[in-house]
Parts: sequence; C-alpha cells; structure tokens
Amino acid sequence: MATREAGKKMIMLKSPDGMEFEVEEAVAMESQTIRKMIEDDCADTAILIPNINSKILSRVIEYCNKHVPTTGATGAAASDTVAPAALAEDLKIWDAEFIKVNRATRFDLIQAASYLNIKGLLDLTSQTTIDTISDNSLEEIRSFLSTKNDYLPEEEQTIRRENQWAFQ
Amino acid sequence: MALPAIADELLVDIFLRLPTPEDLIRASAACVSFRRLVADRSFLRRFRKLHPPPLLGFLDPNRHCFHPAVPPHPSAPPASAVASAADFSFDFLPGSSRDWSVLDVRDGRVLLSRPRRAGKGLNEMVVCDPLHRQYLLLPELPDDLVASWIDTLVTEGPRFSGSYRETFLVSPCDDEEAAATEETSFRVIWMTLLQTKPMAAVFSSGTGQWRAIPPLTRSESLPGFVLSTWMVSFVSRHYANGRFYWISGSTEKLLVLDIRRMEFSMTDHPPCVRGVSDDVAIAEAGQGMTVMFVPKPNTPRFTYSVWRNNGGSSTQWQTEEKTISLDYGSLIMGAVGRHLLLYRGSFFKPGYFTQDVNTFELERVCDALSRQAHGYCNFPPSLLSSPTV
Repeated sequence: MATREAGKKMIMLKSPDGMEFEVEEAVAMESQTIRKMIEDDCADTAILIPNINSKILSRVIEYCNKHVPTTGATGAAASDTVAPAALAEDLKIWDAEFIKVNRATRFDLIQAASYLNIKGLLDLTSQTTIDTISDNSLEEIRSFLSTKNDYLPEEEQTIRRENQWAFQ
Repeated sequence: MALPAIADELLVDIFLRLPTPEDLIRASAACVSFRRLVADRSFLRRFRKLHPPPLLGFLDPNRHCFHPAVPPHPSAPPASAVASAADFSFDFLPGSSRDWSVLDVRDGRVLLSRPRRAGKGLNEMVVCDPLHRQYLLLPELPDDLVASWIDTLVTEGPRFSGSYRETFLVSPCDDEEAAATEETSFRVIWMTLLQTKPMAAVFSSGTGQWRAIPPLTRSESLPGFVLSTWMVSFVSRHYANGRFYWISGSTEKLLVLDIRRMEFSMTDHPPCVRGVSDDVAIAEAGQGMTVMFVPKPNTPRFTYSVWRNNGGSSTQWQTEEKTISLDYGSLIMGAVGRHLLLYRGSFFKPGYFTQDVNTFELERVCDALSRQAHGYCNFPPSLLSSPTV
C-alpha cells in the first residue's frame, strides 16, 4: 500500500485493532524497528504493529512527526529562518506538553517506544519515571510503578537498616 | 484500574538510568521483584560501568583518617555511611597500623607500604579495602627485575641515584578479564625513572604475579623529558582516560603509559612555556577528551591556561581562550574524572573543593586539615558495594 503523495513516499501502519495510519516514510523511520523492516524490504504492504493499540500508535506517530528532521521544501525554509537553538527549545516545550498524560498511557508509550526502538521517545518517557523515583517517597514510587509492597516486615527492616543513608 | 506490569527489560533500562546509588536502592526497596532485578550481579556491573563511583571524601595519608563529604554536598549521606562502616585507621592490616604508609587511593582501594622486618630489600606492599576490611599482601618484585634495576643504577652512577620511583594503583581494564573476576580485580604498578628509560612492572590481582612492562621501544632514552638530574625532583604523575602522564621540568615531552596496552610512549607537551617547578593538572572532559591545566609563568602562580586533547585521533593539544584562576592560598591537589580536586584556604575556613572542568562550577566537599589528601571514590554500602580486594 506504499503510495506517493506530493513526491513523498508514504507507508501504511496498522494497529491490531484495525486502524490504519498513512505516514511519510521518513516519519515512520524514526522507529529503528520500522526502519529495519523497510530496509529489509518487508514493508511492501501495510506494516502491522502488534501490541500497540490505535490510541497509542497515533500518539507515537504524532511524536515522530514532530521529531523527524526537517528536510524538503517546507522543512528547509523553516530551519533557515529559525535558529537551531530556538528549534530545540521549541521541541523541549512540545515534549513537556506531549508527556502530560496519565500513568497508564505513559507506560503504554514506554513499551511502544521500546518495541519500536525510538530512542528520543524512550528517553522522554523513561525520564518521568526516573524523576518519580528520585523525588518521591517509597509509597509514591510503588503507586507510580503500580507494584505492591510484598516484603515481609523484617525483610523491609533489614533493607532500610543496611541502606539507612539512602532513606534520609 | 490495575496497570499491566512493566516488562523486566524495560524496568532494567529505566533503573540503569537512575542518576544516583540512593535512587537505585530506593527503587529496589519498593518490592521483591524490583530488588531481584537490581541485586542481579550483571545488572550491578552494568550500573557501575555507566555510573562512576561518587567522590565520597578525602583520605589524609599522614593521619590515617577520612574526611567525608558534608552537607550540602550531594555525597554527604553515602559518605557518612562509609565513614561509619569503614576502617580508615587500617587496624585490620597485619602488624601495627602505624608502620603502614598510604601510597595511593583508587576505586575504593588503598595501597600502603611498610619497611621489611629485616630492613632489607624493597618495602612490603599491601592493597586493602577499608570498607570491607580486606587486604592482599603483594608478593615481592621478581629478583631479575630488581637485579636489572640495580645494575642500571650502578651503570648510571650515583649522580642519578635520586631517581624517581613510585608505586600506584591502576583500575582494572574494562574487558572480559575484569568481568570474569568480578569486582576484585585490580592492578598495581611499580615504576622507576632511570636516566635513559622508565623501568616498570605491573602486578595483577588476576594472576597474583608481577610482570615487567616493556620499556620504550623506539627510543632508548627519554629525549626532551629528563634533561638533567635535578629535574627529576619535579616529575609528577597524572591520570586521564586510560593513560598515566608524567611531566618533568621540561616543556618538550610527556611520558605516557597506556594502561590498556601497558605500553610506554612519549608525547608532546602543549606548546607553551611553564616554570620548571610548576605542576600541571590533567583531567577528563568527557567523550574521551583530556584537558590539561598549565600554570602561566609571569602571572600570579594560580592562573592556568587550558589545553584540550581528543586522545584517540590526534595527540595535538588545542589551546582555549579561557583560563582558570585560583584564589590566593588555593592549590590543585589532583583530579578525579572531570573534577579537579582543590584545597582552598586563606580567606575562609580551609576546605576541599571540586571544580568541574567543563562548567568550572565549584563545590565544597568538606573542611580540610592538610594540603595533602587523596580523593576517595566508592559506592556506599551495602547494595552496590562489594569487596574490591
């Protein structure tokens, strides 16, 4: 289903819930996993992305659209007029807005970024988790990572005693 | 809504990115399965490889005491944990701890020496881990090496008898050998500077033996390095990015030891003037870049020009516009990674500081008693630290 539109090669991505997304090849190739499929010529028809539902896939595509290096007629004009530092700053603000999602979505995005091998998105989505671990209490870490305290009371005591300095 | 559990490999990826050891410990305290991931030996090895051990304080070699980092320094909590768990008086070493002198400190290990009982031969040496109170006595240097050293001394005559000699610790190389023997692998180098060549041997904890390091291959002498006997007293050793550097009073050449290949070579001194007795500082500026701070002559002694060298592809030193200036009463004691270790006194309570070589940001570590101290870097107990000897 690869088609051409305005001189750009298009790729069809399919989510397991049956939705189809037509994206520029350059955008899809932000994902190293898809890039490899395309380079290995496994992408003649639509590429099925397993385990990533349409809601998450559309967000991932939104991210790749924003982060694809600007080339071509319109892109070149944009990068000529805007200084690289300003562009980077703009992207940072955009990223900060992009990641304002609930925890369930964020975890889905981490899994998607990992499966599709999109380094920027994986860095962005993991960073929130890292910040949560760095800045919050044990209870908040557990709640954020949706895990339960399954230590025996004496085991937890031992860990706290042996690493007392880390809990100050 | 119950969220699906994150796959282990994703958690590992996230945990590896945690910036500090305390973050990792807190994450591991969340639940049993997190702890299992974090306590895995190969995970810990990867974490330690990505995160160099933090500077926890300074070891005073003369008083046998440890000055831990104090608040507001970020290493203060782990430093106080180490200070209370470790024995920096070295009472766990054989014999009287007063007989042992600290020679070097690296990666949480301390190298010490003491005169032999009979008063004959070279000093006895030990490498120890004060945190785990373990030690390893080093075997004597091989007889043939000592004999050949003495022969050369005799040939060169008494005018070179004050030759430069030292023993120091070397990090394990980050290859399979180190991985196989886990964290207890280290090396010690015994080195002497003769008029015509360096002579050295390396002890490896893996083999438990000394072996000679080949002297310079291409040249039989040290042209541009040892210009005269008296200059030997201005030789000093520095380390960055897998290389030890020795500078002398000469501004022509530096002597280099690549610790991966265990090979000596000569390299150019940055093309600038330096006072014969002025010591430089060498540190790591990230991405394999080595940076050298050279005191400017005819300016107050504490202004340094900055030279960068990207090591691998070129041995050329590039100068930078900026200089750094130290306050009166300050001095550079050495460097750890990308931080210069400074002693600052005079105008304020004397203290040990670090200065980032890229941002030049100064950070106070703790109060200082003496101008002589070794930076002590290590992982704090207990999760991340395992015996290093």
